[in-house]
Amino acid sequence: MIFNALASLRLTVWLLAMSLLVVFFGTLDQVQWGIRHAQAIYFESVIAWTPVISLLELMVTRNYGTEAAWFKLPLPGGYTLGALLVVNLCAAHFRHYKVGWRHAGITIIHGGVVLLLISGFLISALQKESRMWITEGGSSQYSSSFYDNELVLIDTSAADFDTVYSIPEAQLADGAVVALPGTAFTLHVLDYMPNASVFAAGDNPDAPMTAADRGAAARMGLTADEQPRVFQENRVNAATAVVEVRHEDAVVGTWLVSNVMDDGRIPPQTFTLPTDNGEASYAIALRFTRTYYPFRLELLDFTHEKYPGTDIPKNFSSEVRLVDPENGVDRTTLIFMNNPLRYDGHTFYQASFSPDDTSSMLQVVDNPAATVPYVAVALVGLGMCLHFAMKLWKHLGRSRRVAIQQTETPAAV
Amino acid sequence: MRPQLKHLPWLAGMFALIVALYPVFKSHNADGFDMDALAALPVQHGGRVMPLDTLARNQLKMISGKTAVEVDGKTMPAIRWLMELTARPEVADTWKVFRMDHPELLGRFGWSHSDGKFYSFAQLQPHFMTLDEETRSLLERENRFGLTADDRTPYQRSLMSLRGKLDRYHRLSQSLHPLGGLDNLTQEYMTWQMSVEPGSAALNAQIAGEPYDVMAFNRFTVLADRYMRLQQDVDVGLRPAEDPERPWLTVGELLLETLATAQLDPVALAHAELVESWRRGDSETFNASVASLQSAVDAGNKPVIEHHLNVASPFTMAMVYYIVALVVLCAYFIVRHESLRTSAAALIVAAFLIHTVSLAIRVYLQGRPPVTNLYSSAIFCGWGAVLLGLLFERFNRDGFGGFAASMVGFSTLVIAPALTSTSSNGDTLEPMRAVLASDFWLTTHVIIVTLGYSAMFLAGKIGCFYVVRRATQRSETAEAKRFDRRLYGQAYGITCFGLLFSFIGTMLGGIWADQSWGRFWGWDPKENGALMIVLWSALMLHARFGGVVQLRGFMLLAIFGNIITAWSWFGTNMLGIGLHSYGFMDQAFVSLYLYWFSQVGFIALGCLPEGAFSQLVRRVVRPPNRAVPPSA
Repeated sequence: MIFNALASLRLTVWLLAMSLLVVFFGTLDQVQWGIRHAQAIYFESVIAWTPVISLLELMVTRNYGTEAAWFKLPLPGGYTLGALLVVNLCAAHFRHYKVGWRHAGITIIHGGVVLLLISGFLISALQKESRMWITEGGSSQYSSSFYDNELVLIDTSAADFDTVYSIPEAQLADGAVVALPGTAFTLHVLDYMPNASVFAAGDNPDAPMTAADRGAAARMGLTADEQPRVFQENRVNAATAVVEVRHEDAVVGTWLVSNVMDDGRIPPQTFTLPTDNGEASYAIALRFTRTYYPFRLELLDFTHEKYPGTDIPKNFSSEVRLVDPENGVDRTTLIFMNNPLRYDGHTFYQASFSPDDTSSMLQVVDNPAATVPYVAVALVGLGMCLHFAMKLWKHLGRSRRVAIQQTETPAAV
Repeated sequence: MRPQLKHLPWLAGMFALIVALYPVFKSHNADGFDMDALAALPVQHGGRVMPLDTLARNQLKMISGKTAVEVDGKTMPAIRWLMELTARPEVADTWKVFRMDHPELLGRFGWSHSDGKFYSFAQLQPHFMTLDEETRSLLERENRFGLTADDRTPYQRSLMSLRGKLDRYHRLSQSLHPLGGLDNLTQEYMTWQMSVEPGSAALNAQIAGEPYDVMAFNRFTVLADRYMRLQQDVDVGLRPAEDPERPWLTVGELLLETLATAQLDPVALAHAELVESWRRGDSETFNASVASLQSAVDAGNKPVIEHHLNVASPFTMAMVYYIVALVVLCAYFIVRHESLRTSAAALIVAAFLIHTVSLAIRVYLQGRPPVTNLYSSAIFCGWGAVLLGLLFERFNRDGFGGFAASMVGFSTLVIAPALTSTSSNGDTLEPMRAVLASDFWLTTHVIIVTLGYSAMFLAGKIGCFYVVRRATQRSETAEAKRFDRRLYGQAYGITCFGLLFSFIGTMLGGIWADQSWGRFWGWDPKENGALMIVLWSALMLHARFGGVVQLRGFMLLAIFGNIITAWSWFGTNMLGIGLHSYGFMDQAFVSLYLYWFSQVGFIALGCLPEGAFSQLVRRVVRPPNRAVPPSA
């Protein structure tokens, strides 16, 4: 009974209709939330709470109706729909399965669709994206996350390497205390703001007070004011924290750290501590989570062509040198639109550039499941061609028979 | 017996083609001025070389929404407007080219809708102060509160749009030469040439603190200043630079070149003569200047061909033929005269030929695959649907492939101009942005997706046709039932085709994205739109297979498919998010809603009982006759 329901075509139709609705509302809500957050609400969720009235208002008036935003209709989310579609498809095939060439096309199509849905789950779980900025003449061996932040304490005492202690954003909260393993440091997060505006207080009497007494905040009179989080594509959440550093339970100082201070405009915030043999130097920062690579990329030249007399980009490309001392690799390559560099399981795409055309941004993608959708698409395409071709062949055969019958009928009469 | 008009279709087709070609060979010269040669002169604007005619049309379209101006009941072509605007601004300023719709904006200047939609520069001039103040305070406000153009009210949007149009108008008016003293332009240029040497000497002396010739100094700096400002304001390239990679030189740059060469540029000089002769009404000198420009600026045959394409406006012709064919086919469905059907088919073939040739010319001009922007996607979508519909007509000969073909052909060509993006200066052959400029993917992904749209629209039109037929007559006879089955079969077949193409096209898009930036699927609005088409056509096929819908239900689903296809085709572009966003287009949004409304109407019609409409008509036209005695 349940199996029959799961295998029924009515369920298929219902699931497809629901998917259509969710995709439609999910697209509309991107106006409010940006693509990434809407994706999390609608497509990477079990239940998608949909402010239907507000969204319809958006359609009509171009403005998101905030008054009716409290009303949210629970629609099945992308995960639910995807899982149910896979179950429905498999069940239907077991229930109605008939051997024979006649169904080969359909079977291949559905196999491909299942694979495609699975690849969707896989990619959503496994794919990592980050960005790597390189200035002309400079080099980089790490990439930064687009969204995630980390609080880092860096031991810069050694001459040829740094030791980085990283605390992911998820562990940061007002009042959190984090002990750094293997050191005598504890970090006390006095204030954590997922988004804030950081500015020089100056003479502004309304500016919030900050507890920071060391680093850029003390030197430049910076302070931070908490802001609501933003989700739009072109906006950045300035994650900011006020952190008290203690060493062997003695307070070293309090710093204001923020990912907007990590873009090179403000020098690194450093401090030193006396040790037995001289002194140790440290840096503290809140920054976009970095991934380090065992190789580095040097930007030799960035080129940006425009159409004559306009600002419309025609082409942009980065000439980079890839140096991997461990594997003895040292080669030069050109990264441009639709032509990425693939190395060591990472793919580097030309993504953006600075307004003065002197630095280039590469998008770094790690996707172990990258080939799965290709196979799935090939299967579905093949299956459809096969199935529809067979249908057409049959149809043509039938209409030919009908035509013959029609010509024969008058003679018989 | 009905008369068989065997040659009628041939005559209709040939006649249609001849009428369409006529404007290409017709001379458009006015009072001996060679306007055709002028219109074909190449200039560079918006990143590509185009004939002056295209520049005039696009700019006029951005200002007035049309490509011609009505002056005292006479229609003036865009090139004539451009000539008047640059050479005789005092005349052009009285032509009503500024389109304003917003009642509040009109009221701001003391006008109302009864004064019309179009206003002239001269009419607006007294209000410049008000306009300037209001736009400035709006911009200041936006700056202060961090607002963007998206937060503007409809009134503010139309205010800023008017402001933009005025700027555009002013910039264009000096794109061929500086303003002021238009009767003595050559003389001014001569003065400039002669003052360069003594003037720069005087300037150097002045800088060095030595005594200098004040007269020469003043003459030189006044003109140099004037041309430098011109150089900043103007964005129309008149002549290629020595280095072919560099942008063409504008009139300001041409004049400033004299600083280095001490020579007057012949192109700038010819434009000055053009203006003077136009003002004098001296067509002989005018034509000679145009000829000298023609030989001085060589940009191959593309500008000439594009000018011919503009003049012929083939897509408008094709649109007219599609609608005529549609009317003829409707007549055919009523009187069932075979020659009506064949004539309609001939008209569609003629329109299709025009459509095809113009599409091919656009491909040649741009050097890219046929679909490069929303406008061209509409042209191509229509083309694909007409091709499919004609094939159906060829095999079934029942008038109905033709009906669907002409309907989609007509509606896509109507909607196309509304899809021209505002960021492109109204140019439909604008250069491609780097992200999208990959011929391979443009050819495969975009064309296949667009053919998927064609198929979905075609299936939807079959649905519309079915519900109209069903509402107007009952299918009692076996023949009528057979006809319905055939419609059903066709709608089903086309939907299969649509699913195949939209799926493959969408997935090719995924592969393109994966190749470009490593993200197979990014939930971009356009991707979601394409996904919705795939989901919907899959739903239709499964609903049919599972017996959830029968003939009528399937047809209604097909009509609803039109709504979804229209949404994903250009509704998604209007949200202003993601890679495929081209900026908001109010006009297109209105068209979208109107279209949706019409399709909902068809669905409602399909929900009425069979023959309901004709019964209603019968009751209205012939009310029950009460005068008849009860028992006759």
